[in-house]
Amino acid sequence: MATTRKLLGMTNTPPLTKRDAWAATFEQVLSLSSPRKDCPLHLPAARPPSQVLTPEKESLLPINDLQSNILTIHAHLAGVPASDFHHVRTQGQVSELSQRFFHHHVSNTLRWKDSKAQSEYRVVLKPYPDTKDTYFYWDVNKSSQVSWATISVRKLSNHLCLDYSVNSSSTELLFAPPKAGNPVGVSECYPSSNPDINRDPAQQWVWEDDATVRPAADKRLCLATDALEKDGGSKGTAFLQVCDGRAEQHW
Amino acid sequence: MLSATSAGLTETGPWYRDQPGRLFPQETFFDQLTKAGLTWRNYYNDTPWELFLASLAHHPENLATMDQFYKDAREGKLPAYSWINPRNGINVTQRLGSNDQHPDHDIALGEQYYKDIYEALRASPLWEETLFVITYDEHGGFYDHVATPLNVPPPDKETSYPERGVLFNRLGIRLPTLLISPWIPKGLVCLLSLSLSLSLSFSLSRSLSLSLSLSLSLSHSRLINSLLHSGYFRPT
Repeated sequence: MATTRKLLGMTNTPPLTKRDAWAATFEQVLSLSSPRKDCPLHLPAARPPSQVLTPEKESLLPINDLQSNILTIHAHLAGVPASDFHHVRTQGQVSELSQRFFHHHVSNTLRWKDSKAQSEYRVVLKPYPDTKDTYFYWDVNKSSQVSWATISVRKLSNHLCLDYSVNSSSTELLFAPPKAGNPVGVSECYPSSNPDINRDPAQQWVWEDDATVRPAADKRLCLATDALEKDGGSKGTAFLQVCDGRAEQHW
Repeated sequence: MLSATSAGLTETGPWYRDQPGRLFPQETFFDQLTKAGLTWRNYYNDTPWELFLASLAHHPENLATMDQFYKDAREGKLPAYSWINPRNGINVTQRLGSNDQHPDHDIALGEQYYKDIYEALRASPLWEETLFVITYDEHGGFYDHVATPLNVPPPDKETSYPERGVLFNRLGIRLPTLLISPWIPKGLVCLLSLSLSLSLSFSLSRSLSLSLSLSLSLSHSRLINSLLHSGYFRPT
């Protein structure tokens, strides 16, 4: 990495760690004043594949630790419970399953990012009841394993979760800490509204006993609305505000 | 090799701080490439390897298949930095065995893999801007007559797990690495003057990896790095 920074002219990205800072570099081996023209177009043939470890035999080998780790990660990313892959015993079973989990993860992630960037994924507050509105009901999904809950829109096949980092203009902002003034909207639950599996801090909330709803990442902030300031019938918005006990922060 | 720390992990394992489901949160070299406005891609066979890093798991737009790599090489469209992984397990449908050169796999398939990648780069319009690095995260034995260096700065302040008390202040056994580029003098055995060592802190994943390429001209830089693990060069 230290060498690459030099070769690619990366002058504004400092070493990642002290070890990185300590590393010597090897760019000096690229010492010719002009590139060689005699590098072979083709290398000698590789040795022929093993006659002993045929594809049939390899597929029956027991799954190795590395494969097991990779499969575990991919399954988790796809939101798949361990029971769905505990039957895997041999190496021949790994690839197809890993690919399925991985593709599921990729499509989840792309949908999630896309939903954060879409301005129509917003929350509006309107007088109750408006029976024409099908997205009126929300679920607060709690867990005994984690301290936060997700808050999702009921009755949607693709779950949408309350989110304080919507309209993120870049992926670097996806995991930025919550700030007062952030608009609150919804995005695809990532990868699930199940709080044990959810990995998006912006979708993780705490519904306190005082009836405030706060980002789990910063409990000094509260979910707030300007709906009360508006005339009856007009739409209000939701956003984060420093908690100060006002009525607009109670739910 | 990707983040200059294992964030405390002392052996191959999937989760940060051993907490199931927790991805490794540290900044990686890929993040730095993005910050620097450079392109990068992580090329895989059936699936990527390093999705334990949040930095990769959340950027699927930068993950691409090896078919895409060969196409990008042919068309001169490789990113500035490419990271290439081998196949970690047999693809039964295609009858393609693992080419990761782990002890339970056929080493010859790994040799074919280098050859394919080298020849794709050699034939690419980007060849004269490329450094192809092949390295390993393991050394293939239990002994090295060269003593491992001590008193190395620990990368960060993470507490070690699952093994406790590991200080990350020493390097490991030497590893082979190949540097391939038309800018390197023919027959240079440069590694005699360098000591390459594997830091314990880099053993997040085990695999062979191929790391590719680098370029000299800033306007056309390409670095292809495909390895999993390596260590650092330090003049002796």
